[in-house]
Amino acid sequence: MARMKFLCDAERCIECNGCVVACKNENEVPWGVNRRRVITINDGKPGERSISIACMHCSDAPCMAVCPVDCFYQTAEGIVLHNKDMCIGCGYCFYACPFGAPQFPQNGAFGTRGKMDKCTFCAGGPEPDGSEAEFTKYGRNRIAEGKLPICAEMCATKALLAGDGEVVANIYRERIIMRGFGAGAWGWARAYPGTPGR
Amino acid sequence: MNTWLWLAEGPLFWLSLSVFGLGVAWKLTGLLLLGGPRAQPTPRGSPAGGAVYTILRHFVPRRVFLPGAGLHVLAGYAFHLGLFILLGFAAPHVAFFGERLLGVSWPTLPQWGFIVAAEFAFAGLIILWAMRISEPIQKLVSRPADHAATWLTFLVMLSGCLALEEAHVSLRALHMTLVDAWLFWFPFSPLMHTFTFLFSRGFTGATYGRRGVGL
Amino acid sequence: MGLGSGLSGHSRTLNDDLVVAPHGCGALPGFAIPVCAGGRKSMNWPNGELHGRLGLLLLAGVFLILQAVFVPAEQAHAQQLDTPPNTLDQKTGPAGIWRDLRRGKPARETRPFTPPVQAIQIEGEEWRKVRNEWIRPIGGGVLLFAFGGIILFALFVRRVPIEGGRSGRPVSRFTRYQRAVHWFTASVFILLAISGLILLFGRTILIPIIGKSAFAAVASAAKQGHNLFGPVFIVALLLLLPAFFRHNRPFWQDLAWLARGGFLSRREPPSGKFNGGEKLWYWLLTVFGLIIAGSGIFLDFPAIAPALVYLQFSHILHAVAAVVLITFAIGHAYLGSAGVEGVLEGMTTGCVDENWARQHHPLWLEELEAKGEKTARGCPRAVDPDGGDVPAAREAAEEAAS
Repeated sequence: MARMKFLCDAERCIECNGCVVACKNENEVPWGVNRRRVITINDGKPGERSISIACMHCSDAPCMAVCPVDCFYQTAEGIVLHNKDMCIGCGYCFYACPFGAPQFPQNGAFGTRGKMDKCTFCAGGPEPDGSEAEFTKYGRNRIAEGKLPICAEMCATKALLAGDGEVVANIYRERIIMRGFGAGAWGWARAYPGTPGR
Repeated sequence: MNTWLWLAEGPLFWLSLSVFGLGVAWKLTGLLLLGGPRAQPTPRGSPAGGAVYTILRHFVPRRVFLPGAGLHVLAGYAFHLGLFILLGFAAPHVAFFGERLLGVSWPTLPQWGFIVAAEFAFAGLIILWAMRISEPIQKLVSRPADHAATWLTFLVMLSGCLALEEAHVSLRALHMTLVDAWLFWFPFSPLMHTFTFLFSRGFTGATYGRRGVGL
Repeated sequence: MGLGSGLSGHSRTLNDDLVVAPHGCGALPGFAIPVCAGGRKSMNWPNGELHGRLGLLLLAGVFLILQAVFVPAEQAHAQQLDTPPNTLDQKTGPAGIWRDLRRGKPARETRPFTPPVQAIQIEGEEWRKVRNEWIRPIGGGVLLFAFGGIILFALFVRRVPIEGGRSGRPVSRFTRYQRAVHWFTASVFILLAISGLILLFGRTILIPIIGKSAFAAVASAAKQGHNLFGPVFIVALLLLLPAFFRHNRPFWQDLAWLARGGFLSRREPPSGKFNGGEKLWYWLLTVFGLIIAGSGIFLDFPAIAPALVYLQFSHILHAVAAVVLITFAIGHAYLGSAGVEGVLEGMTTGCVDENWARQHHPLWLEELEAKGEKTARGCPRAVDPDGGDVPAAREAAEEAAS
């Protein structure tokens, strides 16, 4: 079984935000929720880099570990999903996530959070694949259609790669070799510790 | 789960509401039929005026009573005002009474307004109950029905707040069931003070008003 | 990087730095309009021409100095631009970027009007470890010990009886206000404790019993209830703590009371109105209660927390304080009711039996008698709530009968 992973090549990202727009559009993400974001460090200085961040679908997902209602589950392909019907909006997943992936649609004066929303690797949720309920709650299920996440598909420079971890790693390795300088697989050591393929 | 909700918001609700309406009307009619004193001398003042005056005047305790009764009055107002604000203006309630029952809508509380009103209501109710079980006179005059009324009202409020996320049918159904029980029992319980306070204050006021004495 | 680079990224040139102001006038920074001081209206030199060679030399000198200062910086900046940034340079190459990100260097999100973001925060992993590997197992163990311990205690340690039986003479101990705020605080505490424990342990204990779906409803109710009653508890604490402050000042003999085993010892050391154990509970409630209240405010209203680490830290403080308070509350509740004969009526009726007072709080009774403040005002008649024999009342009845 393929182990799905994201990789954002910081050397190629041009901060075009195509991934952000694609995700918002395809999944009809409500206003204020940002499943995918592009951030820039060293802005305006040598060494300026942009990176596209969303849920990394970690191997030992911290969100899954701290959820009081255990509403997360990980598919056979390693995609971390959650059940919005069970979510109580406590925010613990946000406290734990290294990448700030969980998003909450409401934030009233008393911090009344609605149900958590996050990147689903375009794999929907626990509702039946491709159903109306699944689309309304979780967005498009492209994985069930045999496709890859729309953000990576739309990336103008192929900075954002998504798919089978082995394939992604191989692509990236080739790039490093061609470039002739060190690897900076952003976030991999944090998200996928341990043996390859996990 | 849906059956339970359908029952609690459907047949059981209508039954309870009818018992509430008919029961209150019956009890109040009974009170009115008791009538007033028979032989009356010529009134020196206005009974009606006295009644209205007393009803309004007794909303504020006399200063001499404040050292002992201050906390009681404060807690009482916190509870009642909080509860009425919640009942009348909380979004789920407006949706239920207004849109469902009456077909009209009116402005609702923002989320934080609901929380503040609920906290005042709970604080008031719990303090009132704590006083009821601590003060010697109140302990003496409180009957099981008084405690039951406090507890049932508390449970209705609690279940409502527990269902605040509005995401689980079971929690909403629990709240509705308790509301139905509360409505059903209302006419036969101390909760009738909601209406009878007008009668008792009014009667006292009328008596003194007739004698031309201000209260 | 030198003077050549700024946040905006473009280099400053000599033109930006030198503002040649007409004589007598100056240009204030930021203002385009020259501000003239004095009455000079003319923009020209006094003679309408530069002052000969001296002026030229002066100008050349100024330029030379400026060149010496700015040009090396310019060159260094240019050097940096020529060198490709995509090197194994520890600072600006990929390894450096990764290190910066891991250490929480703020990055700018493309979306406008958003504060700088931390691309990776590892404090969350620390928080997860503390919560899941320390607080839950250790806290759970402590609570199990508390619950189990009190049950064993109740079964095997007999209820402490009143020495010499009841006298039938009541002594006023707590005022109406003290009793009311005590029960107010206790009720809210119980609601918060139950809902809080559901949120902390429900996943391990309740899900196997009632399943995930049902538990989701229970947990939702627990979270809503907990968040709602939190501020009410703060009000209750603020009313309770001053109401019981007066006799709770700690003294050395309170430590001695605790060291000697308190009420468990054969000869209980004498105490004032509150013994060492009661004072310990009061001060634990004050300290941990305030910690729980403060941390609870951040957790309930996250918008006021300046950063995520405040929420993570608050959660840890909140959970630890909660475990401590619940543990001691269990002991307090037991010892204040079933554990000791004659104690509960103090907090329900406000009055205690005189023999009870003499046995457990002799110094307090002596103080009252000395000041003439001992009273039975507001106390119910001397009836034993346990339905047992009340010697003094029985004697009085026998006297009346004979």
